[in-house]
Amino acid sequence: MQTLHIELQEGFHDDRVVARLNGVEVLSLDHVTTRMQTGFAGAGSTEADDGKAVLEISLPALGQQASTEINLIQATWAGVNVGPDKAIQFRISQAPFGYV
Amino acid sequence: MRVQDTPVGVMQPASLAEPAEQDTIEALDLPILPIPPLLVTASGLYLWNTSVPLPAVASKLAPDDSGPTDQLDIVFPLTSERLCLDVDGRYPQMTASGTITRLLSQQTHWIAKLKPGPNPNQYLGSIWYKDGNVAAFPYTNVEILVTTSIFPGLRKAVAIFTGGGAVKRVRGYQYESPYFHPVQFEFDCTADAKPVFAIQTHAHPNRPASLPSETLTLQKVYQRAGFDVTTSPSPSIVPLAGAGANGKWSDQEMHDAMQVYWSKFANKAQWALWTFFAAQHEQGSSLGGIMFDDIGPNHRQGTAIFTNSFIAVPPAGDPNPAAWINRMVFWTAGHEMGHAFNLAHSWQKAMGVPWIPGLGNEPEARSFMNYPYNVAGGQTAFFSNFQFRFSDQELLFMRHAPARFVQMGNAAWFDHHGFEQARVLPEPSFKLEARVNRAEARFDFLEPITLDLKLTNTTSQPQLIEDKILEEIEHMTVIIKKDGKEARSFHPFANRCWQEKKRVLQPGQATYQSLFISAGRNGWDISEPGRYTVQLCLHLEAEDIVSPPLQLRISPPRSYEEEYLAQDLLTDEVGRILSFDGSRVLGTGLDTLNTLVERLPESRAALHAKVALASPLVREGKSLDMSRLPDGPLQSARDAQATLLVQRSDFGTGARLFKEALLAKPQLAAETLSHFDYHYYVDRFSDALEEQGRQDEAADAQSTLLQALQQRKVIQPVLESIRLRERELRGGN
Repeated sequence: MQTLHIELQEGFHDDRVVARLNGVEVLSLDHVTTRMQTGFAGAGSTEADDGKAVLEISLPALGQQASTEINLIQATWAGVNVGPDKAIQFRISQAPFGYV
Repeated sequence: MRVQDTPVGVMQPASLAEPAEQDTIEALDLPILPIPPLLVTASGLYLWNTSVPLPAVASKLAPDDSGPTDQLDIVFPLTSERLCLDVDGRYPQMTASGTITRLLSQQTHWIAKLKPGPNPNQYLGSIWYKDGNVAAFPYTNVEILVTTSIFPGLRKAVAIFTGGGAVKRVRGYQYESPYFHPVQFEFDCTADAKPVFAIQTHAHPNRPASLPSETLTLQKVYQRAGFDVTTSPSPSIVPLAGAGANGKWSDQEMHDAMQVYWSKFANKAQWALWTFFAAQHEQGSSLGGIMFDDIGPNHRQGTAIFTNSFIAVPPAGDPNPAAWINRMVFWTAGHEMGHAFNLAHSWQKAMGVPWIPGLGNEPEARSFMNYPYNVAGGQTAFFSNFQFRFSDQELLFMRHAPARFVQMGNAAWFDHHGFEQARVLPEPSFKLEARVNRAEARFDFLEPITLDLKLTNTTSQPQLIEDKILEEIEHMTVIIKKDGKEARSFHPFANRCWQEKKRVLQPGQATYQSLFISAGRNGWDISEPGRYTVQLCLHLEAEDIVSPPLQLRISPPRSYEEEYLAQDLLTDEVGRILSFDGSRVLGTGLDTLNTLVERLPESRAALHAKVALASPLVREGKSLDMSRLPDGPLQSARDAQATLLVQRSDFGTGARLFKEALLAKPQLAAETLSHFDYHYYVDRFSDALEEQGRQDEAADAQSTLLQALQQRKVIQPVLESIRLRERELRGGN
């Protein structure tokens, strides 16, 4: 088993955010707002089997969703950002994200 | 020779220099180099001075060449003017900016992009930015002639403004400082933090080849950005107890610590900043620092760096881990302090509403405001090309933007970099109104202000709303702006938390509530004579509902007595008593209200005072007795030895005050207390009378209420409920 950390970063404004891993809901947060000082909006984590998995993020109120494939062979951090065009972008890292 | 590290890099005589330990360029391990010839530069701050002789080109101007601002200056002699010239030295922006201040408050701010003119020390430019009273400043071009000298007292500048259909305007300025603004830093830390205030720039091998070897302090970084930095003496140690039981710091805990330990703390805008080094934030090790101060009305006064976080974890295999950590903590401090100057992250420049349109993001900038690990090539690439500076865009902002955007405690955090705009739909579901129910929204001096709020369903469908939607002030933003001053966000003394309960608002139906806005946690937001604008934004799940602006006017005092009483009345204690409808413990405030009733018995303010004094008197009440509080920190509630005391009523006095306030002049009472609160207070008084077995008097009070609100054309359902209450009371008799 590996830990997948999901960190919501830039571009959120009072949004409802739902994360699914391989179709199973693993995170649901309301009123997610990015704090502009740090670029951090919220986080959650889940345990998952080793191997490839599909992380899907949706913002139901905006009608936006996107997914990415992650190879879980160690603890992984998935940064989720919402671009100016409301498109969801992922940043995958094997090290924790830092915020200042 | 001691030389000054200024934004312009110019060598200044020591008499103008900062304390030696902060601004001396230290050769350190390098051999002592011969002193280079004095570099005379023009950049810096100049102040308008009528004794500055105008050069030949300007002296040809006839007296009637004075422009419209000059004429204003004659009418309003309390005028000052500053010129920031930024054309040479360190990181020149080829920019001039100026601020004209009249009557100590009315300001005009301009910025021009410059290029060298055909003559030495001549600069020409077009004015591309104006702010404030722009009508009094029509000019589009500026020519600046500088007299340089190795002696600061002989440095002068003349600015000739032209264009915009106005006649020329000429101003002479005397050199004041190589810096554009002052700022004072105070560094405090906890015992478990490892603060870094300075680094040796060559300590880590990964650095730009051109980076000078020096001891670089945080002060020096900001001096080079254009600030005349002073530093409070030796840092305070902030006790760890401030972080609560978990030893980690929340934003609120740091804000509290700032108020206690920062010697310069004040609830006002000032060029001063508190920098706090601690071990860890409650968010954990992923947070290296934060400009935590977006709390209360004065943002950006405090910033924090956490040395037990990821910034103290060097990459595996780093050639000098200790230097890496020092540099990263130093960089983080510079970064967080930059947020206090209202600088956004490099990739956020274009977000929201930037201070100037068209600002571009700078995701690859080698600036304190960028994340080293997010650029192409990661932190190694960043530090290999980082000169410990801010980007040109950031320097332009810090040096030349209107001071209120930059100054700590002034414009709210991220204001003019990009605040989230209200989510107003083209056809809003509700209409929100703030009303004062009087012919003219004019209030007496000292008269407390309570608004009547009304939220109406404007759709053709029933709408579900929270039952207490207008009482949950945390879902509402209330902005109060006095003419000529910054807008302030109103923060009440208490936020109420209600059990979630929905109710239906039918099409066209409205719900009502009152809002006391004179005083709150900001102090007395509305007290001085003058004009104010009040606007509310109710944040609903799917949209924001914004009220039309409400213009208010506070009259000047009518007597010396009013002016004198204001000193005691406009206090936190009295604000709380009025906000909470009375107190049994705030003795000084109660004394003040009694004095007000005694000295100005016919005033509207006295009417409010009587209600606040009467409310706790007509019933028994409880108060918390903590008079046996032991010395030292409390470990448990039991330590406080607190007991609840029952305070007896004084019904006779309370009833007399209520009658005088509510029933003697009911129209006046309904107008000044607000319709909603007048109804509420009469109900409270009726209830108290009924409890005393005085149903007739209670019914009479309801009858007076009914007549008053009938005359004021209050809606029928409200009037019907009063009739019903009166009938119940009469029947009960």
